[in-house]
Amino acid sequence: VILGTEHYVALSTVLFGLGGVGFLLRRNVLVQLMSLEVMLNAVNLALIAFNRTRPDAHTGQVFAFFVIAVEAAEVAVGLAVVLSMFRLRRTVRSDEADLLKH
Amino acid sequence: MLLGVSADPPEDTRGRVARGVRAAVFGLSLFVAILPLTISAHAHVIGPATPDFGSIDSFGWSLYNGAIVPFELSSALLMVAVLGAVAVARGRQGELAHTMPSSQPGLAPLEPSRLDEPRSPSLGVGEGAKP
Repeated sequence: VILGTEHYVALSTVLFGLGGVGFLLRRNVLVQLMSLEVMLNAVNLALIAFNRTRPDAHTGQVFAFFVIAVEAAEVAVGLAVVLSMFRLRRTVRSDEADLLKH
Repeated sequence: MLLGVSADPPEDTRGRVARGVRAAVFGLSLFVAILPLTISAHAHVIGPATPDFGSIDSFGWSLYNGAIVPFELSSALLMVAVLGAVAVARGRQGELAHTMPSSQPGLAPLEPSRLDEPRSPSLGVGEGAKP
């Protein structure tokens, strides 16, 4: 079978859906961060696949580059927040992060 | 999970059904709505690319000529993120030395019982009273 843009977009959709379902199902913040990474990487895959159909520019790849940079920053801050929450509450479950609720 | 046994108390089942329904609605709607659009009988075949497509040369040219300002801003973003991560993760100075009895009563201090007996059955029951 010849791989076309549709296959990449389908794979990207599946990855994004898996990441979203994992983010909604799991309550461990670390696993939720991993699911977030899966979703961002699915977006990167779609961007690069669409860029491949227009080989005269690299806009999609440049955009994926910035997505990766933002992803790195987000993970750094996210892990720091998780570490801080674990120090405070001794748990990494996201439904127990209710310090601002009461 | 990755932070040891004490970070992984027994799973409570509050809202498990609602959570599952939410995730199922998200995933199924995504798959039902988008997957049929992407799978067509005739795939959009991509022709061969030019030899320098995706090479370091041309990608760097695009990056530095079309997106130099965001590129520099991303370096600032990463620097700020690292500084913020260190500031948040390090906590207050001397926090562990004298605030173990919790100088902040409203902030749910450390509960020693949860550390000592992470598998105690009272965990799931006692927590259930929360709204």
